Amino acid sequence: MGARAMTRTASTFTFCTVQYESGDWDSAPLVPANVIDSVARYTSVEVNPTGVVVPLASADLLRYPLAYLTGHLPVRFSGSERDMLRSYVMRGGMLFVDDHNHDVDGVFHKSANEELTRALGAPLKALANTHALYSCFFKFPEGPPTTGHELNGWGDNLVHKNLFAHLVGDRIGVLYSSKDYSSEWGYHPDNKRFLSVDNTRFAVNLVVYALTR
Amino acid sequence: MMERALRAVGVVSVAVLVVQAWRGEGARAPMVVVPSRSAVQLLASLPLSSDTLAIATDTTLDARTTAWLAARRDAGAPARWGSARGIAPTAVALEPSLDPGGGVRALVAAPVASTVRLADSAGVIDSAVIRTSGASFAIATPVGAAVAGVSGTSARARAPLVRAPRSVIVLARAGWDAKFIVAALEERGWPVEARIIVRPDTAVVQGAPARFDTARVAVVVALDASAAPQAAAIGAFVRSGGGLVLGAEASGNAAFAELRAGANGVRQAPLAIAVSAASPRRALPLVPIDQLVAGAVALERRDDLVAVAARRVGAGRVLQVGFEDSWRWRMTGPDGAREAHRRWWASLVASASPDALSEATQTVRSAVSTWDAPLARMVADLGAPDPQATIPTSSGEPAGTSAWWWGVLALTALLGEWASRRLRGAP
Amino acid sequence: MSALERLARVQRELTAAVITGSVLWGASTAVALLAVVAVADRALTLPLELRSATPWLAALAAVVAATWRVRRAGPFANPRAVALWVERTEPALRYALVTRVDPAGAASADALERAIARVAFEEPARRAAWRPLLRPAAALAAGVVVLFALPAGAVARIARPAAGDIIKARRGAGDALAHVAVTVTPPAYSGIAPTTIDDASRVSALVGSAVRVVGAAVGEPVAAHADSVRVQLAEAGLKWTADVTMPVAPSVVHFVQGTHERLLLLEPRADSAPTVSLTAPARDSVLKVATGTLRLAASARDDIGLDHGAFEVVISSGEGENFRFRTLTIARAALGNARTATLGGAIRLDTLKLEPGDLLHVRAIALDRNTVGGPGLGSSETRAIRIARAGEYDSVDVDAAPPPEERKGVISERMLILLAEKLEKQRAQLAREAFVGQARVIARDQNTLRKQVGNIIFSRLSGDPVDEKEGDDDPKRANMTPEQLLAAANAATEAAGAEPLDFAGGESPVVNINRPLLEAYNAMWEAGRELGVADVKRALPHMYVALAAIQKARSAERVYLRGRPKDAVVDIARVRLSGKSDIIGPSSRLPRGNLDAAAIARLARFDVALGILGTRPAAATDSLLLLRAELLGAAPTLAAPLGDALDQLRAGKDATEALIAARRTLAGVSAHAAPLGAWGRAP
Repeated sequence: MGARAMTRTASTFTFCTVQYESGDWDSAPLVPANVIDSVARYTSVEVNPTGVVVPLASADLLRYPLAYLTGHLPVRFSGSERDMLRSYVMRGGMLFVDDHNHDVDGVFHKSANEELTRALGAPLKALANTHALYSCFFKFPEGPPTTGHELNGWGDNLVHKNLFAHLVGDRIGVLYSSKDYSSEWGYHPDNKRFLSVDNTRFAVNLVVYALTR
Repeated sequence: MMERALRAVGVVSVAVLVVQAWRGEGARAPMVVVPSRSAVQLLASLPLSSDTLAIATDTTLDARTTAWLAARRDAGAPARWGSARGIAPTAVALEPSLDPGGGVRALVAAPVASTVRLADSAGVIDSAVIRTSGASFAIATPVGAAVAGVSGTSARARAPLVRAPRSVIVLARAGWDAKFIVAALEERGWPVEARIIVRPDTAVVQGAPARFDTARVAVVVALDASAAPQAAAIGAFVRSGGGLVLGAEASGNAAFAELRAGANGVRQAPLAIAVSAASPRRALPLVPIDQLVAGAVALERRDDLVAVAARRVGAGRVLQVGFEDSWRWRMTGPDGAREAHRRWWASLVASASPDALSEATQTVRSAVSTWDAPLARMVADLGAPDPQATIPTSSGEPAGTSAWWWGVLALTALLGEWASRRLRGAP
Repeated sequence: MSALERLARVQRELTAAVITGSVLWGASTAVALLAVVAVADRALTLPLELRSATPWLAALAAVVAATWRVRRAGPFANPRAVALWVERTEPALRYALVTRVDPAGAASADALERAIARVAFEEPARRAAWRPLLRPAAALAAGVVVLFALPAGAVARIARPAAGDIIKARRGAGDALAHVAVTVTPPAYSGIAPTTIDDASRVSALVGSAVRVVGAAVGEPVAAHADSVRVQLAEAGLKWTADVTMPVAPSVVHFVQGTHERLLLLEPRADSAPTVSLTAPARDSVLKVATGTLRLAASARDDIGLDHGAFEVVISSGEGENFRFRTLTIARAALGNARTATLGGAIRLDTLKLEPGDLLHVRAIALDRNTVGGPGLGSSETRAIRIARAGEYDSVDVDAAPPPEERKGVISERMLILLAEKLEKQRAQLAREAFVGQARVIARDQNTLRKQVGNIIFSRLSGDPVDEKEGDDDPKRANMTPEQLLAAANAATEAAGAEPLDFAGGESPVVNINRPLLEAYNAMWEAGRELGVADVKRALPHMYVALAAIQKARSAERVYLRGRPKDAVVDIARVRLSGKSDIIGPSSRLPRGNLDAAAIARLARFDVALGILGTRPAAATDSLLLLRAELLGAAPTLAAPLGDALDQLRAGKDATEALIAARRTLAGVSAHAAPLGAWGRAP
């Protein structure tokens, strides 16, 4: 195995899906491949062809400084999950949480916000649509791109203007979305050919932001 | 028989006392016992005369005192000095860590196997047993002067002033290592300029990372081959006094062949699975540095392999780092790993940084310098120590103690002889 | 009366005199000590500890003095000794009494009795016995006079010392901030008794505690500020008082009287939320059928007291995109302000009407009685109980498919509405040409969407496959007006066009789906026409109607068939950099803040305070106090050693060790030694 190949195993970007004890953490199984495909499609970032699933309470999570968490059901973190999340964020990790219900009155939204507030010690705050997240690769001058589910009026029948975040200094530690990117990006990457505009471009911004900020 | 023996002892003791008194009288010179470092007041009270002044001290005289004595000697009042216990050849120098995080390094030279005790006005800072020629102490800003004490000898120095650090340029591809190295340097206070490549025609840029100017930039950190197109400009920057930290992948690139401290060896897997607080870098993969170029110095080894090496190129310095994926140290290490990773990277950059002593330092007038070597200074100002000009305190006895003992012995012997005679009825 | 009987009477009187004398000596000693301490306290304001010990010291001194007097009085219990003492007081007895007491003199008892009878020794003996009592009585009286002469309260400060009495109510000039007493009354819900601290420089108490600072109202008026906000002071009697409430964040109250200053650091202690642990059910599980009873048990603990606890159950039903939730609170129990409590309960599963696939999320919660910041809520970990589906182990292998026709384009009706709304808002800022141009772009997209909807309707109604090309290219419908299309649709569904477009009972699903789409088609046609003439305002209502109709249609047909898709492995090499890069651009990164800057600045402040500690201790202590106030908020772990050092300084003790420890903590990195390296620099 050459030096370059070994480097890939250690330092290469690996998409990480967070498994938590409560809820349906695996409700968007196609998102990882789709995001990985987009990262490879648009950037030269070294990326592993498959993602990993890591329990939130596991120290292995610290090996993946960008992680993705989604679900429909109530989120209740255990004590060790809470501790790990806090440590993960403070050390420099970034957790992207997406409400698969796309419903601000839904239990995922309420329980996840409650748990994140408890773990981080402060409620999430709206992220300005001028934040570097929206311009670090693709340009999204209007802020977070709308999803088909928002436009279709499903869930809470709202088009959410902002994402929410917990900032550590000026860095995003936790990014929370009510826009249901999990549904938006939940298709096999080969089907991108059916789209006139690739709707996973924002995922590339997430990865580039996490890798450079 | 016993009476004769006692008489003999008494006579011999008295004879010794007489000889001691005669010899002492013959060698007598004005002797001043200096009990403390600063004795200007005491010495100034002595009359100027052509008699040689004998200074007996078991402590190191401060610079003012030795300067006063040197001036006195030049004015025609010579002095010689001595120390019964001996003054340990000791030197202490304080230098800034060249790191925005502040801190000072105290470099102490002292005899092998001696114990150095470093203190400041706030109390004892640390101590160490000298293994080779000395020790270095990394400390926060000392309160007042730092004092290195070695078996009664103390060297005193103050922390130097430094000017604000110049920038660090980081050149790398987008990846966790680049992200966390930039973060570590910024969190430590280094002004960082960066170019992080995300695709061949696109980069995330901070500052002006293409302007390699020693007036503005202290160090360039080239982590990987993405810096190769700038290798020539970086080389010129280093030769004109800049610093360069080469990551393993960058040093393996032919563009940096003239700058690196050695060739890349075969990549080694981590020696430990988990990052430990004691030896965190054992859990990192290592591209060892082989075939060090002439003048290169190995700064860190892992087992027999060189992990970090440095060399001078022109007026600048190059530091080659063989460790990879140091971000794992910060993310997966034990509590405090984030700070440790930050300090380590900051120290690497500081180590390659050009000197940062400010001009203001040159004009500062202070009774205490940034370095002190008491024995060397005393020899330079007063000459070599004179064995005669000593307080006989080698065994911890006060002056005149041996004469007192001889006197007691004589008296005891003579009394014993007298008592023996009276007991047996003799006159 | 015989001589012996007369001697016995004298002996009794002598005993009484000795005991009385010793008591007087003891009392006068104690009173004298109390008086001396009271006078000294008047002049020097003695610390509470010394004043508290004074009554005990006085009692001890009294006992010692009394005992000494008794021992010094001699063996007055022995008749012979008493007889000797009487002989000394009345020499006229000529030892007759001593001889009479001695058994050897029994032989001449009568003669002795006669001799003794001639002498009246009782009165001289009485005088001799009681005379020594005059001095202790006088001393006692003097002590009592001194104590009574002291101002009101001075004796009480010695006899019944208490925290807070350091403040002496008096008039005149002086430093009103020299001494202050701080009384902390915790919030009522805590049930903690108030405490008073003399000369406190920092007070740690529960958030919301009432903090009353009292000082002597002497000299100029006192002013106080807490974090730049003026604190109201009141004068009561000869004292001033300032009342503040313990804030949520550390705060410093700054008292000023002329040139006198004093700082009081308020260190809030938060009321922790209860800690709850769910013991039953012990783990997540799957039930085949939703019957039986699920036992619930939990334990809760709080630092102050628990108010009530309960079990919270969330039942989720459904799957895919369609979930329903119910939340129940059961087994609510009042916990009576106990610090620890156990919760118990049970769920009868058959009463919950659970369906296969439903999930129960169970957790225990407990609330404390915090009335200041609101009840603290503690919750346990959550257990999930799932009701198994009948065909749980069946699986359907569904290959991932392209998005359905309705979702094919990103530009949907809602997106067009958003664009139109945005354009309408920008009308005033845009030039007419630009406005018309953008409106026409939206009109074009609206028409495209209308044609797509038309295709869907036509294909569903006619059964013909959907044409992938633009609808107007289809010869079948190229010349159809909307009315004709609607008529064709109605004909196909055999429904009357005049019927309301709603989900009428008895209609087939196909009709239910297509009627809203037809309405949407019509509304889009109108919207497109208005947008074409740049009348965005009039177009928007039609667009809203179209959107509502599309939603209605999609709700009617929302059917999901889900299976676990196969893992996708991306062929990185194949797709690498194959994406369009039209809107990719370089970005700039903003530098991250220096995390160590604050720590360095704090260390510098500490060193400055340390530097002036020898010359201006009060200023140095105040600086350290302010530093601690900052640390309590920013880095609480660093504040603790500084607090120790401050306590030592305030108590006038040697704080060197505490200051060294504080400095080492602030420096963050302990010093470490290493051999001298070849490079002469770190690492």
